[in-house]
Parts: sequence; C-alpha cells; structure tokens
Amino acid sequence: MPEYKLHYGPQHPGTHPFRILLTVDGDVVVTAEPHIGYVHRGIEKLCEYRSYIMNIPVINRACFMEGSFHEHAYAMAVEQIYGVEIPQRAKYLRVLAGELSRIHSLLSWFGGYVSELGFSTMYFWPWADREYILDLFEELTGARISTTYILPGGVRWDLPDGFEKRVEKVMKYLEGRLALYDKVVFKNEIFKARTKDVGVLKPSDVLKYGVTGPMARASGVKMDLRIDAPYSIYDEIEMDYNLLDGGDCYDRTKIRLMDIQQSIDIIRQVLKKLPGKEKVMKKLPIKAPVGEGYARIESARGIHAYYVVSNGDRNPYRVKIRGASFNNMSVLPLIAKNVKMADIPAILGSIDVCPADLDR
Amino acid sequence: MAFEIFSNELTVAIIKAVIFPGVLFQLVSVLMMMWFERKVMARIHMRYGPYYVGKFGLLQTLADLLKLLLKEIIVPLKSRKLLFIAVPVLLLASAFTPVAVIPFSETWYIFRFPYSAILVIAILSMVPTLEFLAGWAGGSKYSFIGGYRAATQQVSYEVSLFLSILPSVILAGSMDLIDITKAQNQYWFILLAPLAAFTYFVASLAELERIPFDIPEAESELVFGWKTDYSGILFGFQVFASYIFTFVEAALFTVLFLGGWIGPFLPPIIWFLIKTYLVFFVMVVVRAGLPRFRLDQLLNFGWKILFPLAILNIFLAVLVGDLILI
Repeated sequence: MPEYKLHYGPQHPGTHPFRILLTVDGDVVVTAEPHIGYVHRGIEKLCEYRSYIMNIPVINRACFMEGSFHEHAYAMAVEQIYGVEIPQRAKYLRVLAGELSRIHSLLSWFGGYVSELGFSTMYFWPWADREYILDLFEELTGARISTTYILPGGVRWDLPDGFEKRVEKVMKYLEGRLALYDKVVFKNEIFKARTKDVGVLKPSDVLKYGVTGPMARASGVKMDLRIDAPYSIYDEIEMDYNLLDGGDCYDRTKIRLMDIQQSIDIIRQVLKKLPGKEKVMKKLPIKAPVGEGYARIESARGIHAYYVVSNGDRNPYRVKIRGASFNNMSVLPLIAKNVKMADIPAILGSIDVCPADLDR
Repeated sequence: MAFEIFSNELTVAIIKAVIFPGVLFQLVSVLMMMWFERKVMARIHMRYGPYYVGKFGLLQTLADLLKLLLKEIIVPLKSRKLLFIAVPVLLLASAFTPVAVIPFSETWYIFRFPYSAILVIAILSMVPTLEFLAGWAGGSKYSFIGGYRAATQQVSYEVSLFLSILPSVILAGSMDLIDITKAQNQYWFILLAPLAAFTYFVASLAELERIPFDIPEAESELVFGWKTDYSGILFGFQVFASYIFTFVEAALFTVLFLGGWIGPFLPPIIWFLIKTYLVFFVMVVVRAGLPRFRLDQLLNFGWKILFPLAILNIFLAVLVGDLILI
C-alpha cells in the first residue's frame, strides 16, 4: 500500500480540538504534523479592551485546567507595573491555590491519558479523586473550575474555618490513591509495553525546542522554576527536583504522578507556615502607572509567562502570553517519527497539551 | 402428503430456533448482557451505570435499541453500497448460526451434528472476512485500517483458538459437543487441561475484539474501527452480532471446559446459563482492568506465546488422557 495522508482530528475521539496530519505507510507513521488554531479566542487582544482586574475571568480561561496558574502569572506581572508588594498571607494562599490546581490538572490528565490507551477504569478513578480538589476550590472560592481567585493585589478570600483540616484529609486520601495507581498502572505489563521506549525525547531537544515542565524533567533536564527562580514564597518551601532520565512516555507519566506527590508535600508545608490573619487583598487604583511587567510561573504543564505593558490607561496596552503547551507541542513531529499508528495517542497524550492554552 | 415434511421433530426444532435458545432468547440475552456489562463496568468505575429506565436501569439497553431503530441509516457517498448494507446482516446471521449446535442440556439443542465443535469454529472463522469487507465497503481510511486490523488479528488468533479446543476433543474422544459434555461427568476439563482453558479464553477475547485486544476499534486511534461509518440499525446489527458471538464463545468455553449443563440440584439449562454468564462476567472484569495492546505486540504475543502454548496443550492432553482417564 502506498503512503497516504490521514487527518487525525479535529473531530476525533483521540484528539483535542486540533488536527494532526499523519503520513502513514502501512501501519507506520512517517511524519506527524500538528495543525493548530481551532480554538483560538484572541485572549491577548481581548485583554486590551478590559481593565486590569476585569481581565482575570478572561485570563483563567486561557486553559480551563490551570486557571490559577494563568491568574498567578498575570497578577504578578501587573503588580510589577503597580510596584506593590502584596501581603505575605496572600502569597501563601496563591501558592496553595496553585498547587491544588496542579493536582487536579495532573489527575485529570492522568485519567484521560491512561484511558486513551484503553484502560477505561483509569478514566473514572482519577477524575473521581479530582472531585475532592474541586470541592475544596468550591469552598475556598465559590467556583470549581474557573476560580477567579488570584487578583492583582492579592487573593479574593481568606481561608474558611477548618479548611486546613479538610485539605489534610484530602491529601491523605490522595496519597493512598497514588499508591494504588502505582500498583494498577505502573506495574501493569501492557501499560509498560505500550509506553516504555515510545516517543523518546532527548535532553538536547528539550533545550532546543524550549520544552518545559514535567516533559523536560522526564528527559533528565533539571528545570523547575520553583527552585531555579523562586517566585512568590517558593524560596521558603523545601523541595527538590523530580527527575527521571528515560524521556519516554512511561517516564513522562510517572513524573507527573511524582509531581502530584510533591504538590501534596508543598501544600502541607504551606499550611504549616501560613502567617497569621491579615488582609489578603490590597486595593489597586484603576489606572496603572506607565511601565511593563514580566512574570513566569511553573505550571502543571511547564512555564507560563506573562508580559504586560501599560501606557498609563485603565486597560493594558499589550498582554503577551507564553503558554507551555505551544512549545511542548512543537516536539511532536520530532518524537512521533517512524512510530506505529497505535503509538500516536500514547505520544500525543504524554505531551499533555491543553488545546486552549495552545491557541489562546 | 405435503404436511408430512413438517414432522414432529422439525416443528420442535423450528420452535426452538425461534424461541429458546434461538432468536427471541438471544435478543433478550444480548440486551441483558449489555446491561450487565455496563452495570458491572460502572461499579468497577465507581459509577452507577444505567439507572433511570426500568428497575435498576434494566430497560436502558432496550431504549438504546429503539433509538437505533428510529435513527436514519446513513450510507456514505463513497461506500460500496450493496456490500455496506449486506455485511451487518450477514454478520448477524452468522452470529445466530452457531447457537443451533450448542447443547443447553442433554436433550435441549436445535440440531445435533457429529462435528459440531468444528462447525462452530468454521462459522466463527467467517467473521474476519466480513469485518474486512465492512471496513473496505465503508470507503473511509479509518474504517479500512480497522478492517485490515480486524482481519490480521482474528486470522492469527483463530489458529490458537482452534488448537485450544483440540485438548477437549482428544480427552472426550469426540467432536460432538454433546459427547464432550457427557465426558466431563467425572472431571471438568478445566481441571485436566487448565492451560488449554487459558489459551482458549485469551484467543476468544482476541476473536471478540474485547479489551485488551480491541485494536480494530481502538477509539483513540481509529474512531470506531471498521464500524466507523455505520449508523442506525446497521450499527445495531453489528453490536448485536458481537454480543451473540460473545455468548457463543462463552457457551463454547462452558461446553469445552466447565462441564456444560452438568451440575447438582438445578435444572441443566439453568446450570448451563449460569456458567456461560459467569465466563462473560470474567470477560467484563478483564475489560475493566486492562489497557489495550498494540497491533505488533498482539501479533507477537499471538504467534510467539499463545500458539506454542496451544500446541503444547495437545501433547499435554494426550498425556493426561493416557494417565488419568484410563
């Protein structure tokens, strides 16, 4: 059979809203070429028509799974323009929201990824666990997904009474579940056969393509913004790099579960070191001074960066977003070369692209 | 007299074919199997599963069937139209046929045939051809890939499936499913040939395209494999056919290894159904507990592990037959 082109997506149960143009020879994929842009909403442009605080509900839809990270990076960039220092307690709460958000983002990715390999049960278990995190968010912010919690100047609410205890309960439950997933998924021979040595990403390519986050760390590149360039209060948190050196789909899955464990540890430290009650929101004037701000954070998928320019108006003059998914996706043609057709969902899933973040 | 051809025996056979264990029973059985599978899967997933239609959602699958009946049948423009429509019908027909020779009790069968074990396998081996044709007739790349995957997979696992029934045949000294069952009065063959039972079970999972071998319809790669282009009741026919095949393979497992209708107290037919659905239950649990293989891994497993094991079984069966049964 001659080579033929296969349009993998955008209407396909295995992909998100983007298309991958596969050149297939028999059962072997010769090239895979991602075509993106199906969910472009022009968030950067939208931000220019709203005031700084009104941008938050737009920004956290840059990726619905990790709204807290986008809010956090944007808020830090805007605070640079205003030149304000926010209350210490608010910083801790931001990190708390961020790490909770990381856990729910990674859990939902994990469920989706393993079920794409045909393991239907593992779709529902992590998503059921994720509900507990969403319950915590609902209690903390009133919303489950689009939390709109982190604003320029602080966070919207302080913790409700007894919140720490309920967080600890969920964290304990999650640790048990992680041990279970280790048994059910990572010791499963079929899962190993499907993911080991599939889609290997070399450390040199990580640096060349600007790949960040768990994907880079699974290839053995020491890269974690929370340690390399600690923002917010991460310099007060004890943590170490999660590193694996395989760079294949198996390690990329494993490192994300290690990230969940790390987030659990961070949340415990945050709750322990949380400073006493104070106002968590500093009111900022509507009009910002002339200037610019740049902030980046380590999200569940890699580095999100925000560059905000102000010309002294109510609205930002320009908001530039660097989404982690875009760079991570750019290695797909590299690692999905000469693989079996059935490896495509395995490789694509392991990149953990958020299509909303990809197009913005 | 013209009426003589409707002899008593033939009338009974026709009634059996229409009611039990034939068409009507199979329809009810398939609906219940689907409900059972969805419910068991859901409980393993920590969900409720079908809930609202009927008691415990028992009528949910019937409602789904009605929905499929009412939907428009879309025949794609580029498909080979006659073949496209004919394949699901043929598939359903070939699914019903093996039920005729399966003995539900010593007297309750539609048709007795001295080589019935081979007959069942022969009909099952028609399936890959039909599925390949379905994939080809659909005229889309996804369904074509699904079709050729189905053909590759089933043709290579058919060999192991056929070899795995031979131990029972050797131990019983007959190819008649009724004689095979009768030979298990003392020991069920799963005790004498456990390895054969294992290879049969694995090969039948591959034949039925169930997880971990559902490669032809791997939805994250191929949308729905060779079924992608089908809609309405044509799709329903295929689903029905696949569940009847599941019933047949589970029933064959019961006959070959679990002593068929043999069991104390309860009527033989009840015993037979209990064992068959128990085998189906194991299939469902396997489906909930495993991811899916890749095609090349599947073929490697089939030819390098399962096939030699299946051959080994035959020698083991001869040995066991000599040592124990005499």
